[in-house]
Amino acid sequence: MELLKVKYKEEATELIEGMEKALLAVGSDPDEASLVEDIFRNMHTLKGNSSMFGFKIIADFTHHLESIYDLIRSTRLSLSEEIINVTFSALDHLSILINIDSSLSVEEQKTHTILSERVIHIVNSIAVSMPNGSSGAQIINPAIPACKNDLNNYNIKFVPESDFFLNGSNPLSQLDSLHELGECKVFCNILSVPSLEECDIDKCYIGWDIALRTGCDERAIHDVFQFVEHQCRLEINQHEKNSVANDAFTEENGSRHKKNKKEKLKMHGLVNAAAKEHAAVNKKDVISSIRVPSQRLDNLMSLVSELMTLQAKLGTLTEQNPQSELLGVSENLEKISTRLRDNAFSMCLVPLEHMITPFHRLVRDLASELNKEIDFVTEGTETELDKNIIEGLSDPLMHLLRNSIDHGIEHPELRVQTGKPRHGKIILKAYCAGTNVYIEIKDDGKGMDVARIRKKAIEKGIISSDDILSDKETLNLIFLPGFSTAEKISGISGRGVGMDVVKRSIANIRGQIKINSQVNSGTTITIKLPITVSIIDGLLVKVSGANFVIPLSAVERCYEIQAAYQLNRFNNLIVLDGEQIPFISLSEEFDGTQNLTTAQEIVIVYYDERRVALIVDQVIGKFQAVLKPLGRYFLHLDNISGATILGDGKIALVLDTNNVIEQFLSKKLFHHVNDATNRIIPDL
Amino acid sequence: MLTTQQTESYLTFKLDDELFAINVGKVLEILEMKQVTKVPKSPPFMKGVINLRGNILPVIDTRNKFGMPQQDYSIDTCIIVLSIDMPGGSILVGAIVDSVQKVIDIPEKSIQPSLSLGTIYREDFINGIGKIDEDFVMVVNIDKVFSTDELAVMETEKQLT
Repeated sequence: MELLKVKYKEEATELIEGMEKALLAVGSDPDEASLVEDIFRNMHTLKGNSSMFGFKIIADFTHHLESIYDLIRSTRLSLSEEIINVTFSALDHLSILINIDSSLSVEEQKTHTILSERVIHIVNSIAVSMPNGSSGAQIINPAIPACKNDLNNYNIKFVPESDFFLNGSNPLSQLDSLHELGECKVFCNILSVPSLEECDIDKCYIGWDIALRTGCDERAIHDVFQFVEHQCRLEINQHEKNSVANDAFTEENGSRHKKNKKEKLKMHGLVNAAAKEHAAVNKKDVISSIRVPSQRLDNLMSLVSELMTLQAKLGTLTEQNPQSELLGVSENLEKISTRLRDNAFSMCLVPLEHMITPFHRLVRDLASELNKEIDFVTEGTETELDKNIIEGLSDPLMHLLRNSIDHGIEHPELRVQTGKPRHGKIILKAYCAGTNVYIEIKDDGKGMDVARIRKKAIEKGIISSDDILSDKETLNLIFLPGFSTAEKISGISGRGVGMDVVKRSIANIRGQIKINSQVNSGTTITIKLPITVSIIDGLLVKVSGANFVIPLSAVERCYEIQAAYQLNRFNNLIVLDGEQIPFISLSEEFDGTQNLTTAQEIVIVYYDERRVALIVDQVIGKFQAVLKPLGRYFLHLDNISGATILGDGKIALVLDTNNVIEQFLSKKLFHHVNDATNRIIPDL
Repeated sequence: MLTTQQTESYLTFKLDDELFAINVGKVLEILEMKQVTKVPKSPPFMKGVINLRGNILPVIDTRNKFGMPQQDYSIDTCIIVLSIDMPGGSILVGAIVDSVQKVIDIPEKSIQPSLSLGTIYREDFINGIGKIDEDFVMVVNIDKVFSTDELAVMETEKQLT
């Protein structure tokens, strides 16, 4: 049962997502009938699933929503902004309902009531808007001839069999449905209830006599009992119209008739829809994709990684003992395992589209909340990324979008004044280049004022007033912890926890973030991401006998050191191609040993925009590293991002060059204060 | 006599001349000493990492951890692969010991709470002292010794001093 519930939740979440997506599309193309059809179908499935699993609250709630879309579908009602808004709120509420196991909190209960009322109000309002109440039914739905304007009286005898309860049927639901058809009076027949000692609580002993006045014909009544007909005794007798004998409704007033008619229309709509859907299901295609728990994919990936390592090892062994047969086998294995790896990786790739829908939602909601007019355009959402990256990307992107909406795009009036179109524009663009994926968020808002950022940074003591920074460096200040230029703290963004968190979470998925902004013409934020997290292209180097991998993405080029005189020990500067570049001796940094004499080669890496030289003993070559975490014991180490296993079974540690350099710089600062005088200055 | 008495099996190992015991339930395997890849900037007791059939296994220098002097590795030096229970799941760790002795059964009754040792060992690392024949063996609480919390504590203590 638990398993089914999980499945139900999964499916329901998907259905809701589907509806959201369709609704958002409706916003740009309100006449799209197929979208409404989609929404209706999803809604209907959700309702069906919910009642099947006994989530009555959800089923009831969806039921009303569904009626709205049924009416729209049959062009009885047009899709107004109000309906879209209500539906959005309702979908949000549904997501909450689906994911809570316990009962609703008071607040949620309140939302529930309010939303239900709004939904019912919309359903009711159409009938009122129809001309002349009494003939309304025909106008509302001429397609259903069965429902006539005139009312018929029926006497229904409904006696469930004694084992009625055993398969989960509830006679009350039939009675409820009858109530929806028209006015009815129910009399309970308890004659066959035995004495208490003989009473079996699992059995049904009672029957009902129902007097019903309805515009529907007998078939509609039979439909109510459709699923229980074989389990009960059912007699339906029609009386003469307005027969005096059965007029139990004299005290009822006419005004309610209208409402009842609407209800019964709904019933018919449902039955029709259900029939259609049934036909559609039969025609469904053969399964073209299957669902796999992501945990299994992760397992597959780690197994494939291990296979790759093993394969590399076999390759080395074969090279050492070249035998023609062995060579052949090893070569074939390499081919197959490479293909296996590529396949496995592609399985873990997910198009960006999956995470975009909530963004549309966010832009829409926020824009209306802030009274801004914003067009949100997405491009290249079919670009694929590793699912782990997608997971890590959602929050930072959300934050960046919020910033663009809240701080970037101006109010429509202001935009008109500055000669821009009323509608602000935010473009989210994704594209693939090399082994990286780039995601750009571009707005045409007011941009960032470098002077203001500088002022703020000085105020906050992040920089001192005589620091000279380029525009780019100034912009990058916003990524520092505790920096926020928002004058007014709003609930949406600007609490100063923003951009540094964004930068860190992007760094966690080994991405980089860049910012570019022009006052009055907008801001562009570019995020550069690797396609997968688990495999990186690296440069294998040796440092005091140990192997290290430097991610190739950070490497600019490699040099050989001819002689040590180029090194300026005091400033830690090296002259290369006539340029002075700060250097870090990795062996000194890691071991504390000074081996500049044995150091052979230099790797230039990027540290933000600057270039830094790392001195290593030897550059071995390019290496595709399968990144493995070092585990919890090394959590506090941030200069190593993981380890990888080489072909010969040895371990190489993967360096996080940015952090290595950062650590070095902070240490250098410390040294300068403490023992600058003790430093050994080599003779130049 | 009823055999309700609890008896557990322990693996004994030596550090210097001291005999220690750990519950065999915690021991996954015993490896020969092999080359350990040093991880720069890690605390001295973190010897580094080794490749355990394609997985990265952190290795701890137990001597250092117990405050004993450094000694060269001998042919008897072993890595015991242990499974450590921790909040958030168990993790594997390798512990370098001077030599592994044997597996023995110690009845629970004969493990006495450690008296105030007043020695170099931290008391909370030792569950109790068992007696086998004429020898005493210290039963180690490995969950405690090797927990990352414990390591983090050591780290901060070191920074403070």
